[in-house]
Amino acid sequence: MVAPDPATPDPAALEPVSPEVEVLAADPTVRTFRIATIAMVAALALAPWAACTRCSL
Amino acid sequence: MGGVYPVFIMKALCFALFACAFNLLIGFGGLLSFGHAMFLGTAGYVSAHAAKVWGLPPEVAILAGTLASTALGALTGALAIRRQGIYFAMITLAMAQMIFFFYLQTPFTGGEDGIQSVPRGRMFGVLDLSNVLVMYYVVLAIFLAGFLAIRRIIHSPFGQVLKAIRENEPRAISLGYDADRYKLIAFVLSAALSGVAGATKAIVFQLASLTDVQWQMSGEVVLMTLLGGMGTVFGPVVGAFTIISLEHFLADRGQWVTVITGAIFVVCVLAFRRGIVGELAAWWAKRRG
Repeated sequence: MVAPDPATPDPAALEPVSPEVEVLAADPTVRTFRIATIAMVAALALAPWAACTRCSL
Repeated sequence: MGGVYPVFIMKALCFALFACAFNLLIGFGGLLSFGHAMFLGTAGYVSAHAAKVWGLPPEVAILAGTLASTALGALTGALAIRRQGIYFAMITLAMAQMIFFFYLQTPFTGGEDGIQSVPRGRMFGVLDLSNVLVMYYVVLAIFLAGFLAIRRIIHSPFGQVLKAIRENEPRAISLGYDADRYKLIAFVLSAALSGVAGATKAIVFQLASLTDVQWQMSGEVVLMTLLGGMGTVFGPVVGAFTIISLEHFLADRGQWVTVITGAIFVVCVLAFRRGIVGELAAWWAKRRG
C-alpha cells in the first residue's frame, strides 16, 4: 500500500463552500448586526407600550 | 398607551423601509436616483385604488401596488441605467416629474385631493387592521421582512458583484459581469421595495396623495439615507427615524422644519460624511483596533 503524499491536501478540506457562506464567515460585523437587529426588533415590538408622557407622543 | 405613538412609529417604519430600498441603489449600487418618490407614490395610488374601488383585501392591494412599482421600475430603470452620474439622476427626476403630472391630471387619483378614506380591511381575512395595534405589528412585520431581504441581497453573490460595479465598473465588466443587467436588477428591486413601503403607507394612513410623488419626497429620502449613513444597513433606518421625529416635534414651527433639516444636512455633509451609523461604525472599528 502506497502511503499518501503529505503534500496532497485532505479531500475533506476541499469540500465546496458557497461564496455566500465564505463572505458571511469573513464579515466581522455579522455578530454586531445580529445583536443590533435583535435590539431593534425588541425596541420596536415594545414601542407601542412605552407611551411617552413628557412629549406629544 | 398613547394613541398617536404607534401611528408615528408606523410612519417612521414606512419611511425607513423606503430609505433602505433607496440605500440598496445608492449605497451598494452607486446609483443616485432623484425620482424614487414615483415608486412610493405609484404603489400608494394603486393599492389605495385597489382597496377602495375594487374592494380588494389589504394584502392583495399591497401586492398590486408593489407590482405596479416594480413594472414602473423596470421601465424607468431600462431607460435610466444607460447613463451614469448626474445624467442618471436627471433622467430619474424627469421620469418622476412626468409621473407626478400624470397623477395630477388622471381622474382615478383624485387630483390634489388624493384618494381618501381607504379601507384598511382585514388582512388574510383574519387580522382586523382597523385596530391600531394590529396594524402596527403588521407594519413592523412588513418592515422587518423588507429590511432582512435587503440585508440578504447585499450579502448575496449578487450584492457583492453590485458593490464591485460601484467600486470599479470597467474592472467588473472586464471580469465578465454584465454591469447594466446587475444595475437594472438593483433598480427594479429598489423600486419594488419602495413600492412595498408606499403601499403599506397608503393602507396605514388610509390616504394616497400627491405628496408621495412630489420631488421633495425624492429629496427627503436622499437626506434620510445620507444622514443615517449611506452604504450601511442600519443607516437609513436611523436617518428615517431622525427626520420623521424632527418633522413631528418641529411641526409647530411651520416652514422652519425645512430650514432646520437643511442645516442638519449641510452639517452632516461637512462634518460627518459617513452619516450617523457610518461614523459610529468607524469609531467602533477604530476602538477595536
